[in-house]
Amino acid sequence: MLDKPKIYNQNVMHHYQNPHNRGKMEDPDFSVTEENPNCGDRITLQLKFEGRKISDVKFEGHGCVLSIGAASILTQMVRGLSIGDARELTMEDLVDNMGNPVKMRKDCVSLSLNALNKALSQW
Amino acid sequence: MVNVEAVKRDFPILENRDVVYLDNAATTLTPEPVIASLMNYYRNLGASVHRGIYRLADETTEKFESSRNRVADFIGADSPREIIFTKNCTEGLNILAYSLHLWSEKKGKILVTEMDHHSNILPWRFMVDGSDRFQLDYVSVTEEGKLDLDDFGSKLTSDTVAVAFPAISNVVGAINPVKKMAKMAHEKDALVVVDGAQWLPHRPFDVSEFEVDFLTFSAHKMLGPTGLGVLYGKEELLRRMPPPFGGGEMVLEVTRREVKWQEPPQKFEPGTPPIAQILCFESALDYLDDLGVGEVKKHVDSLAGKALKELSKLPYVEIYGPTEGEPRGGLVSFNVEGVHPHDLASALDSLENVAIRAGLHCAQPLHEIMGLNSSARVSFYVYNDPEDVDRLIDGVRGAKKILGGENVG
Repeated sequence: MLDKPKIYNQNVMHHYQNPHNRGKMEDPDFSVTEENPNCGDRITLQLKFEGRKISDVKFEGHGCVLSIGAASILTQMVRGLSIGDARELTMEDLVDNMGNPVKMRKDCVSLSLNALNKALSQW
Repeated sequence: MVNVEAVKRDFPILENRDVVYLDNAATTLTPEPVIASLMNYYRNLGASVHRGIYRLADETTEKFESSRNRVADFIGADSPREIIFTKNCTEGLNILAYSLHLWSEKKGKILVTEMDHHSNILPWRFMVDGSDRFQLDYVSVTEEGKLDLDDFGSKLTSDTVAVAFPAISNVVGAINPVKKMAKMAHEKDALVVVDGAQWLPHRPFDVSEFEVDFLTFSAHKMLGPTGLGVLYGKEELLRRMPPPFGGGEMVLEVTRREVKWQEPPQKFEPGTPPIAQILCFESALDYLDDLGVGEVKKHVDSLAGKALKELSKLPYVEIYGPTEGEPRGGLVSFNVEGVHPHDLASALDSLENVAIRAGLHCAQPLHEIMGLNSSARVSFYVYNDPEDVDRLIDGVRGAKKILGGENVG
């Protein structure tokens, strides 16, 4: 296997195998579910605010390494952010934090980010 | 027997790229004679069809209609007037739903199946939505994803306007008894629409033997070009059907108030058609006939059979659709326990250069019924060989080792 390319980096595999902030929140301020119509993957993202800051964030759902890994990493990134900063998060920021090329799999990664953007647009 | 080594040499992509291409149910690779024919139009012909009064136009038109004749022969149609060129299989189904909506005197049910591709569900949904004349009903599939013929029999009632179903499921590869279903439908005076996208590439289909009223398929799934499909319809039905699209080439006479349509097929082909593609499709059919469609069937079935057998040996693989020994149309869908199909596809691509399909395959209702979020699919064609199946199995083993079993999500 040594000369074979790695499919996913350690960071993404770690988040897939040990997702952070996975679970369900009691009375969230916002809860948005996004689905990928190509594969049926589904992520529900829940946010709780204190003032204009994201005080708690959880996700649940089913998906591939990239969609679950990205969701886990995204929840780490947004916890404690102000709504303004959270709104400025881009796909590039998320992919940078993952450190894994996504190429044809952008839809897998964007699932949780789309949920975040939808939630923030309801603010 | 298909001489795979010789066939492989005809496909430039297989020379230029190191790939085991197993996504043939989505689209097939293109052999050199078809590419040459496509280029020939742009290098040596270049004119539009039917209108020009000069030799280039005449020659192009002759080749264009020759291709139509070739398609008619290929499916056993009575006349080339029964062959309408569309942009893909999907467009053919949309034309039928729209036209039927306008001219059907019979009111009642449109019967599709739970195993249909979205392209054979949504056009009919558009047709019945908001209509007080038509309703849509679905023939059930069994848990294994096979069509429930008893349910077909009971839902097929005298008020059924049309039945539309796939000859072969693009997800589970189940082969439907087309002739039997067509006969049952005609006994209830219902029109028969068959989505042949997964059948035509590797099985002989004779419209008069199967007694279907309409058949649709795609050129690019059978060695032909993209951007081209075929809608076959019985001539007397096509004559009665109003065209859904208007434009040039389809009319005999237009005044400010009146329109006289051309006869079929021109009535359904407004505007400049994909001439280069239509011309080179004839070469694709020649290529298939040179191999022998019966031989292609044997070859594809034997590869799907091997894949089924080898995948079944892996205890962590779950396979959908017909079991070993049952009829299966050139593809196998499955899941690897603990590995998401998208991750499996990425892993096969990275580890073994094996290209497969993963997801819902545009058939969400069927996945829902089988209780699946998604699946992986391998599909075979003339340039695949048993070693490709071995590479697939190696890749599945590798993917399971790297990704499997930890967090299914």
